[in-house]
Amino acid sequence: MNYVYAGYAVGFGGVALYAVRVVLRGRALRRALGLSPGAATSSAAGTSPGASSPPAPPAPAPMRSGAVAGSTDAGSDR
Amino acid sequence: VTPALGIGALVFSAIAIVDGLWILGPTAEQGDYSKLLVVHPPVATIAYVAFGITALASLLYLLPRTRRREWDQLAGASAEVGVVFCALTLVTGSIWGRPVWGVWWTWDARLTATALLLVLFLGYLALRRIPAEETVKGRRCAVAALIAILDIPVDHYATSWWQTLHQGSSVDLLQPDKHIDTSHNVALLLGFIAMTLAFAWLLVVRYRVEQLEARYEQEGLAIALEARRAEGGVGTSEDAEPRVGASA
Repeated sequence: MNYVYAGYAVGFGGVALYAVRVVLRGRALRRALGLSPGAATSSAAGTSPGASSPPAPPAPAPMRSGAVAGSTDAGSDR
Repeated sequence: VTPALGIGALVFSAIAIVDGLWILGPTAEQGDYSKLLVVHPPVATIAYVAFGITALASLLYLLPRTRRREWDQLAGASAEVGVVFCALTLVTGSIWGRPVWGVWWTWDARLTATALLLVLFLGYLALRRIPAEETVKGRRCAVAALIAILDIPVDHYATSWWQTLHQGSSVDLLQPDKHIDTSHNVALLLGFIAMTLAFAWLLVVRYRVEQLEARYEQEGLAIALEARRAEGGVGTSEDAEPRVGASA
């Protein structure tokens, strides 16, 4: 009977595990694209129109430094 | 529709498991091992169906009149689900074969053709990951799918064409009571319903993931281009590098 239990575990369990994997992959992609509520904390936050990003620091007057370019860039994404 | 498919799959899986493990009786020939009928044939049939959908979608993608990116995405999604079911077919068949045949594996025509089918569609999935222009990749994968699908008739008729250790069909749709009794037919039907619902749900969800992946690839490229433009305009890439890395 152990073979029967093993067969059922592999058959139904395998499908269930794959289903979990597909769901998690979909959630991760949605988060990365800013399509889910958790998008603000993802690595790609602020890169899509729907994502909220932390407020950009005030830009100094001269447009030369990297920090200025960064804040400008972040602002353009939102 | 999707939640209904998911819930239906769960409910029918539970019913099929309870019926198969604790209600279905043993047979004179195989004893309790015949209970694996609930798992192995449905999983194998679903693998055929999944690869069939891949081939059909690939054909529609190849025809100029019906060419749409969605067909290619559906083919890819169905192939991945099919590979999972095909792998499960081999493993559950091996678990069934060990106590009944005395071996985990033998180079029987049916088993070999199924293993070949798995390898062919693993190759198809690998081909999908090779970077190329969208239409070139789509066409290349569609042709590969149509070649790989030729193994299905060989696999299906292997038990008729050659002398195999693997048994022939358990069920003849034209004569339902030809081989197995009603309780086993019911158990088999429950297994088929459960796996079909699970496959339908998986296909829908996986297809959506395929579309999200395509969108992510497009947006990732747009972000990289934007970062490069900013780099060119300001003269530094210090701010752009981490953002490209984070999004790619």
